[in-house]
Amino acid sequence: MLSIKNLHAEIDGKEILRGINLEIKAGETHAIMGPNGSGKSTLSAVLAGNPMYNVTAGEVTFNGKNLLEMTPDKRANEGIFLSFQYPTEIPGVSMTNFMRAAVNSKRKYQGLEPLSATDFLKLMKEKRQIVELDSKLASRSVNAGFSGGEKKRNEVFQMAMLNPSLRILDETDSGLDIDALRVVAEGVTALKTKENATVVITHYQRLLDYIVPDYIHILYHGRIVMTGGKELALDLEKRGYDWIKEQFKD
Amino acid sequence: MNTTAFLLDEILPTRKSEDYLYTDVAQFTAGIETVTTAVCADADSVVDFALPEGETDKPALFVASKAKKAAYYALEGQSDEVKYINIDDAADNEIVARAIIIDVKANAKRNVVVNFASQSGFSAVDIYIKMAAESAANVVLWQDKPTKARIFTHTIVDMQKSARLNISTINIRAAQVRNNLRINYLGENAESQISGLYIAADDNRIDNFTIVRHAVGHCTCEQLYKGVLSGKAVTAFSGLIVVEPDAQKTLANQVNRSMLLSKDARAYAKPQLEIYADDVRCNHGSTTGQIDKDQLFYMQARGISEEEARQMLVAAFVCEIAERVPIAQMADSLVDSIKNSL
Ligand SMILES: Nc1ncnc2c1ncn2[C@@H]1O[C@H](COP(=O)(O)OP(=O)(O)O)[C@@H](O)[C@H]1O
Ligand SMILES: [Mg+2]
Repeated sequence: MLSIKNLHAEIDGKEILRGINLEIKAGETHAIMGPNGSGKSTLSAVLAGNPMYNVTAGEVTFNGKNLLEMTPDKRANEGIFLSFQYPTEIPGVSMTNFMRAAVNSKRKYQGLEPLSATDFLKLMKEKRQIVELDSKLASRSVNAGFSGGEKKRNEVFQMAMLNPSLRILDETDSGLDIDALRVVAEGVTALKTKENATVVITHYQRLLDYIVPDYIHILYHGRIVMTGGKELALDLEKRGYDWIKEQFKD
Repeated sequence: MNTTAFLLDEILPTRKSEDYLYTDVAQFTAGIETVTTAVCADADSVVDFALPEGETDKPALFVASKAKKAAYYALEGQSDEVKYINIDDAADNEIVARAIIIDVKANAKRNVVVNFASQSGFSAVDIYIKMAAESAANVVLWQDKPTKARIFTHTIVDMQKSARLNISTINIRAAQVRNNLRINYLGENAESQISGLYIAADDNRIDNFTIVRHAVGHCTCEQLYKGVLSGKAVTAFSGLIVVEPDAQKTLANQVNRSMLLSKDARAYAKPQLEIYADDVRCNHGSTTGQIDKDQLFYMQARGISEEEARQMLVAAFVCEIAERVPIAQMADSLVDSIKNSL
């Protein structure tokens, strides 16, 4: 589904990704872990097409198509979804209008008619329940005044609405208490199919108890320095990252 | 006498006046050959016009004040209906000057829309709003469709004890506009909410100058002017709040925000406070910015095209003004006009 080869990216002339290689197939779950500042969010932003970052080398194909040539909206409509580490607040744009625009953009891309008002509201209600998102939030402006936990639920709610094939969750567990974590993680798991794939970026083993990865990659200083099975997370939980930093310092 | 020279000398202030640094009066009056006065046809009556006592500013239409005739509207009782005052067309080369007196009587609660629908010429209007004790009014100066017309308004409001005013000035893609708004607080416990919207494109020029004068205490005034500029548009906002020594417990707030969609657009802002009382709360702020890149990316990351996302963000920015217009049908049609204009 996704193939990343020797990806280099920079921001403000500073190289952050220094040769990433990663293959993700449908049905798989990959976890990406690593110390703060390693480039995890940068990788997710580059995949989603954030124009702040400059790709300087490498290639990324998504279902055989050159991803790096696509605008961010095209990537989303092709099936990439990024759950933001820091979701953006958009005062004045209601969640309802925002989601209607998003859902209908995807339908238009697929050559479908816009959803009727009733069908749309039905879909909102159904998906809201998956992450137990308060109905009041749906009438508010996008993320405006939401608590940290509400923002993360809202990300997973949007993911449920858009039904993407590649789901990138950037620290979706941070800021969640243990109950919210369970709800959100169960939502992500419930939406898992053989056709979609999941990339979970996290610091904590606890999320991986719910979303069990097939592979764990350790990203450090802009490179994937180690790949293992789910037991690698337990190892990291015990030993921390110092031994990685020691082993892979430049 | 040469008409333009006459206009500049006799009617309009010169650029030497500091208040008119931004407004290019010569450009404003270019091509004007005649000045006529008119009285709105649907007035309750026609009365002699005199500026409120102590008002020294040169009005927008010196001419009409010379003609000394004004359309008079008395607003009594309480009603949700809207009283429309229509400012009719002017020919391409003329200034049509009018004076309007809106007399909101004690305990009245009324809605008024001054509707500028002209497609040509230059409309100059003096509006004198008398807010009696315990009166309430929602007033909108309304111009919502792209137009070649030029507009000059000079509005003076006297607020008596416990009066409540909500006044909005809406200008969407008019060629040239200068709005002067003066609010005088003359009785205690009066409140006003002042809003302004300017959407300026191409080489539009839209200027708003407000002066809020607190002569007595315990009054509140809250101002928000917002605008979106594209093309080579230029706008100016100048807001002066004066709190006189006796006006203790004044609450006054003023915010001006402009969004620039092009490199060549310019938004000038000049907030000013003159405070001579010590126990008051007065704030002002002004910002000029562009579309937020993070918001734009977030929307695109959900599949919304850049163009649609930009439109939604600009509309969200200015629709805050529509939410402040308490006359429901005007607020709704403002949202439509905003969307059509972007
Ligand atoms: N907008 C930015 N401007 C400058 N440097 C940035 C920016 N965003 C991230 N960085 C830098 O890139 C590096 C990687 O950051 P990030 O991808 O957020 O790491 P992680 O998600 O692994 O914690 C850090 O050194 C960070 O300081
Ligand atoms: Mg991060």
